[in-house]
Amino acid sequence: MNQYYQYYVEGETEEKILEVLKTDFRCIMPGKVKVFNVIEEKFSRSKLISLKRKTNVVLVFDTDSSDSSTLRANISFLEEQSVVRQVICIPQVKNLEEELIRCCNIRKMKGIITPRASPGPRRRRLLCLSKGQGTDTYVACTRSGE
Amino acid sequence: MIVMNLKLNNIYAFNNFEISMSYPKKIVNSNIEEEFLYERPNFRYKKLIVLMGANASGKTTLGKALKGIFNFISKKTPDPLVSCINDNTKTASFMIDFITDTNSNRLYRVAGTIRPPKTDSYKEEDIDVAVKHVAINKNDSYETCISKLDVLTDKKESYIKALDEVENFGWNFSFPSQENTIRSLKDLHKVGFKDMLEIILSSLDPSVQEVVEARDIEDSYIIKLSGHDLILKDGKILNGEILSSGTRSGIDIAILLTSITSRQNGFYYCDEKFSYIHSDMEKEILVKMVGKLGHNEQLFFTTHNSDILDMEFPKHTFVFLKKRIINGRSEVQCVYADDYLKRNTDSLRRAVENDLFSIAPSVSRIDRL
Repeated sequence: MNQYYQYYVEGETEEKILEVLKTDFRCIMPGKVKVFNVIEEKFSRSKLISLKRKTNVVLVFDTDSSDSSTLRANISFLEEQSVVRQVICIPQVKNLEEELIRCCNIRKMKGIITPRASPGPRRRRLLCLSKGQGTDTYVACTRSGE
Repeated sequence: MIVMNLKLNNIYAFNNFEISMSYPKKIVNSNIEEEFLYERPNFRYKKLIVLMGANASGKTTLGKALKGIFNFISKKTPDPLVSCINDNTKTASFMIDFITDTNSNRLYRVAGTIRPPKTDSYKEEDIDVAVKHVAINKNDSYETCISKLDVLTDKKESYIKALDEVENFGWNFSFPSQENTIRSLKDLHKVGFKDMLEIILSSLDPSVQEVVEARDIEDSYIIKLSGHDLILKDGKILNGEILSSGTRSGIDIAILLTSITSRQNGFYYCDEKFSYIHSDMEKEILVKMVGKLGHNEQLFFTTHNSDILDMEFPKHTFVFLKKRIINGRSEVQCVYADDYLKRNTDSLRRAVENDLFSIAPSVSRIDRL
């Protein structure tokens, strides 16, 4: 916890999930969470003023959009900023709902709210990777986001 | 007076709320001395509770709820309590474990249920109160005492009769709003209020030269500045506009600090009195307040100042309030720093800056402006 982390997530649901993963499960690096769609909106310098120096910026985004130009521009922009230590990308395949289906042992989204849904090995891997401890690059990747 | 545990339901924004003021193990070399009941070293209680949280998370209303419960228990009138009820069409309840003063060594549990009134106003029959108490023996801890309390049966009697069993106790709530204007400074004058006021005001504003007692106006003081004299009466300064906001708030701080120093009340709730005051000054006065707390006394201190996180208090001192809206109903939750940070080397400030406790206000909407 010696470093600063700032998460940018697409919506309030992701914000809530990160809150649970961070505080209740304590399975990801703690950091502040802001709702900001990095696929559609561009970062500006003013958005980063409140960041502390050498903050790790974590982008959580959907991959169901065909246009990744804004995302690429954002990553490049962030990498150039001295306040940013590194950019970590967590792409959701394809969006939050699909990602949850993919990383949990469920077939449909509604399964996640039934008692039968249990986190499977893939979900555990996702959490582990989010914490930056895993060697598998299955879900998370740093810097380029590719 | 020490509050050990409090449960609230349908009181202000508190639903299924619980806050505990015991801590699990003795802290070696703690900066807070004798953080246990006098002559009962196993009965550990938090002498200082630093309450933090976003705006509208319940820091002030927790104080108001406690104030309402204390007044209800002490005065045996329902008004202070029922004025705290959020939805009077539903049942409200509270349960408080507390110790009254130095000599009693007795743990009290007062549990109250307030049913919706059948008429326009609450009547005695709408309120059920159960009072239980046990002696705290030499080697008892809070945990052993509550297990003794749990096996006692509730008596069926009116709340007025039930509350007769509780010994007297004191409290002092200091809120940022003007509602708590001081009754009389006479009592405080006898225990050094004038000197305290002079030190606090001149520290906050170097142009304050002296504070003297007013001879012609009863229960009043003259604050002498270079070229101006201001009159302090009933805790308010007449023509006080020339003083800064911080200096003016120094008066309430001097009142509270004098009360603590002279052990007037035993229980203190200092709610955001330092919003206009420099961080270094806030830290120094907090240190003084804690140092002056006597045996079996307790201080609740609410603040937004993150510099307080750097102070070398035990981690169990820090409690964060978090409000969530679940299905249209607000729920305030306590987050205890020592539940998360177990090692001495863990930085509380870094944890808060990284929002480990998920207590940071949601700023995304402001960001979208």
